[in-house]
Amino acid sequence: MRAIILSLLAMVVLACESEIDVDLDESIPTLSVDAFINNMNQEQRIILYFSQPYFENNIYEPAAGASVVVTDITQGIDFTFEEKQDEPGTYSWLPPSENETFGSIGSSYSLSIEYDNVIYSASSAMNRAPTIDSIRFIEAIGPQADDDDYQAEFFALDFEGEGDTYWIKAYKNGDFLDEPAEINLAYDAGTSSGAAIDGDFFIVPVKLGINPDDTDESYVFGDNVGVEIHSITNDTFDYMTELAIQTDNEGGFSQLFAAPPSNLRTNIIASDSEMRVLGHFSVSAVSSQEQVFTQDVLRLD
Amino acid sequence: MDKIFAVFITFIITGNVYAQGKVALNGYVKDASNGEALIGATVLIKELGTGVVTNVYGFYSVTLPPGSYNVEYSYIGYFPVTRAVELSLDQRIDIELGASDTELEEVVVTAEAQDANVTDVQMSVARLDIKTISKMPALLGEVDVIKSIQLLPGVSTVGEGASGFNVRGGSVGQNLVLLDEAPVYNSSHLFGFFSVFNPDAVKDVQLFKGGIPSKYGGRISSILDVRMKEGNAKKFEANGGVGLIFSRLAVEAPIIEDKASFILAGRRSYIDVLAAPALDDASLYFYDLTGKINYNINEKNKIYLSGYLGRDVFNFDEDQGFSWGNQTATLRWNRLINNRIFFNLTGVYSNYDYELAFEQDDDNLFEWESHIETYNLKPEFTYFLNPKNEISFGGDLILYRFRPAEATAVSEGSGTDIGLDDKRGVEAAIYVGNKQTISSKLSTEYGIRLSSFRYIGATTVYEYEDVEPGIRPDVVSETEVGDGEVIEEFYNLEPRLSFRYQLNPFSSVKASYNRMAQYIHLVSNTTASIPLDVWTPSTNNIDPQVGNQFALGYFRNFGENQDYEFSVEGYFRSTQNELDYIDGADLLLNEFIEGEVLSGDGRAYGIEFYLKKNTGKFNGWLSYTLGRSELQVEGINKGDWYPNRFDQTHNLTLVGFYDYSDRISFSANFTFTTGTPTTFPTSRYEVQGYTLPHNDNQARNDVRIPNYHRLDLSMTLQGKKFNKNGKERKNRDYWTFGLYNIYARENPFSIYFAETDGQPSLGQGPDTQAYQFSVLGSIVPSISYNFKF
Repeated sequence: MRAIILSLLAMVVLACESEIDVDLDESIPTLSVDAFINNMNQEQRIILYFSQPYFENNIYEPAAGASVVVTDITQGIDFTFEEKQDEPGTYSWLPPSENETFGSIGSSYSLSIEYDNVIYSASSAMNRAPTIDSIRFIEAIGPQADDDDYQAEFFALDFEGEGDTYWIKAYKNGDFLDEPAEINLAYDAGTSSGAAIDGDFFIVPVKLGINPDDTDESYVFGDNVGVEIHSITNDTFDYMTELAIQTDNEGGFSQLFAAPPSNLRTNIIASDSEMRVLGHFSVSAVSSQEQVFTQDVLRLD
Repeated sequence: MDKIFAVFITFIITGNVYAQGKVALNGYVKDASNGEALIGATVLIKELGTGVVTNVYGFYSVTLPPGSYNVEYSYIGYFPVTRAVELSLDQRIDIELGASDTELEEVVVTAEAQDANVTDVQMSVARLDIKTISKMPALLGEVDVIKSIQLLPGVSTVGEGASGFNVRGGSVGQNLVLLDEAPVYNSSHLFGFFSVFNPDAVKDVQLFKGGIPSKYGGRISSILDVRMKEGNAKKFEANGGVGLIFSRLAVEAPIIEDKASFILAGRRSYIDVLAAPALDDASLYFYDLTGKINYNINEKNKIYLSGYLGRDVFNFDEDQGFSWGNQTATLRWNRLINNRIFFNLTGVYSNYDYELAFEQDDDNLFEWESHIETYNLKPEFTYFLNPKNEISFGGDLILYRFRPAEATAVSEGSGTDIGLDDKRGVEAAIYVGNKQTISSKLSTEYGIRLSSFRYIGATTVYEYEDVEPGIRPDVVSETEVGDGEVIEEFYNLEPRLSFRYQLNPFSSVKASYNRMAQYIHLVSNTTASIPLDVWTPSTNNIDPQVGNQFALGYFRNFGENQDYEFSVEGYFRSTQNELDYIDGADLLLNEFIEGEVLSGDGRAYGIEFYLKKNTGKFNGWLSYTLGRSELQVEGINKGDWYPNRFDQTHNLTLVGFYDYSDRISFSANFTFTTGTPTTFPTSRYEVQGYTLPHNDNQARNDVRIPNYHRLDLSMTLQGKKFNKNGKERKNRDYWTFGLYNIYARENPFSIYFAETDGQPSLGQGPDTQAYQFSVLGSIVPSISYNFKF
């Protein structure tokens, strides 16, 4: 929405943007944890590494030799994540068989990492994820839309009961739409707790939030559109909301209305309060659906 | 409190005794050409060497022992008039002053007695008349009240395109902007590029930065008091102009000569008309309509009705877009209760609203509308006790109705009301003040205001859990409160005090103190304030903001005809309960907005220099402010003080006017400000493929963007005054040519950091880059044509 308003405005005025060099304060390499795991039938990974100076684009320095355990507190089951031989710092858990997945819906989880004699711990939960009913296509709307642009929308019913939160991920021909502007979060069927829409179909803009942000990349006939609803805790919802705010720097006039830069708050706690840690631990249940864009799934008004 | 009132009553009583055997001379001072009241005109009793100035309605009253006096009436840019008055009984004298015709004569006229800078007790006031405002170089040639006051000491902005203005380190929401006494909640068109005040309808602009009189309250930083013209009471007059952004037309005329007149002024942008082919179904425009009627019922009673209606519309097509606007209405009744008591009753309605709609089809849409409505009643008495005391007292009653969201989301035909509860508040205040001349050297203005606020139902009251500041708290209880029930109440006693000590006829020292309370808050965590920002009342979770300000200044006039004025003022302001926000705050359409807010302390201090040359072919001013504005909020910046987003260490402005000939004049302004603070990351890390910036020092606003500077020029070419046959033309017109940002500096508005587009090379992570955003990256030329007949 904001982007649309601002692109209109940009016609009016003579803004400009340039790449610049700035000096930054010294960076302190800090243990970072990327621990988003789910119940899909695939390898689950937790990555430990060290942060680096902002402008460095090296591969992050891995934090090797840690012991990583995720515990299903509700059922009292430990899942040990083993460090991969060929990828130091990457700790993985593989489903023992094709039918098995990680964890179970309704359970609470804790993460425990022992690294360099410090214990880092965090908690999360695997909440329910609604089934996706269908994915359909419509003619695109909005000021930037041309006549033959199409948009995908998905239909799913949020569960009854307030407080379900989701991260909806979209894939175009198997490629994850990974732009910060494409992060699509839902609080029940709406967008925030303060304006709750419960137990309903996901509303606009959530249900349309599975389209590429760049309209030049809009879906065309033949594209395969994949949608995954990841249930997330309210805590992870807040984290992802802030992550989207802090990374979605489109520049231009949105800079007038940008929130102040601030650090993301981690949910990981170090046993030694002197030790810093970054990152987030999240456990999700996932429901997914794919649809190839054909005339059959085009909704005409 | 009782003591203070007792002192006042004593003053009034003793004053009355003292005033016995005296008579009052009063009346109105007006402009002879159009009957407009002159605000701040000087009425000097030559024999006594003392005088008074006219109030905002052009009224004056002075109490004197019976006798013969020579009374001189004067005002900047007008020929002074002296009247010999034989005063034995109360007498009314209305005076009309004739404007000096040319700029050159203006010089002669204003050369004497324009020493208000030194003699007036009021300090920290910036006043601009519309004549000065209209001469300044302006962005795209559109003369602008708010852009003009930003050129005065102590007033700043975070950059082009930002709404509002900052005064002495205060935030945009801490300014009370009044248009004919009605609060204006968003003073901008097109975000912040233009202000809502139509220069054709504005008479006078006063900005109180400190030493704020007790009749004003409600915001802790400043009061911007914009007064509208009353309308030509003598003859029909039309003013208009065609610029690049707006076209303007204002008409004014007497309805009954010298008894009733009106003004109606409108502006509309026409980008949408010019860019129609590019816009398809979209519409993009803004307009405003400003009007006023006044009626002299008789010598003792006068009424004024004024209003404003404006809107910005950004529609992408028929079904979606957004719009916002203010509506205000003011009804005023002036009454002379007797020759010494002037009474004014003002009733105000003000509404600010915005609407947002996003519609896919009838079954899938999202609509949201938000309002803040204000009803305000202000009785105000001025008691001209004697030449040494002018007492004012009155009240202020404001009813607020906050309607943050009437919103509906419809998904597949099933609609959900996602609106938020209304919130209501009642702000009530009583005040009394006195302007007292203690001796020829010492004069003072002091007063006190007792203000209160009640947060009332019907609404839902939330209590939040006590958490570490900076973390979003959960709601622990929810209570429905009935209509009119008081949920929370607050009281504040706000003393105001100003002194002036005259060192000699050319210089004086002034000091002031004021305490201000603010009960409603602009909730905004973006760099620039946006039209969708919401105002929220003080509640059981949000305390009123309170500010204390001290100022000390030295004022001096010099030069052959005292044509230079100079002042230096230092100020210190400390504030409590300033708002900041938790990280990731969700401030729009959120029922639990009180949980997103943090409260902290603020402090701002600085020194302002001002040198102005009033007269001559070449005139103008130099303004420099050295200042600092900081916040301390638990949960931000490790709890240490950090500079505000709009903090500017240095702020220098140079404004010059040069009258080259009768027809051609030039103006220029130069602005330099220190870059505003921001936060840079030190490190990066990655979560789920997203590269995240991180500041290892947990700092907020510890670095600054590059300095801002800009030079603008403009030239005004007056149309010929005479026709070819030598007759004077009835119509007047002029062209204005402007060059804004003449050396095309790319002044930064912000610096931000992001991952670059494109695939990273093998064995490397994505690139990250710093970007500088400039609102204006080039020189902006402009041309406008203005006429008057």
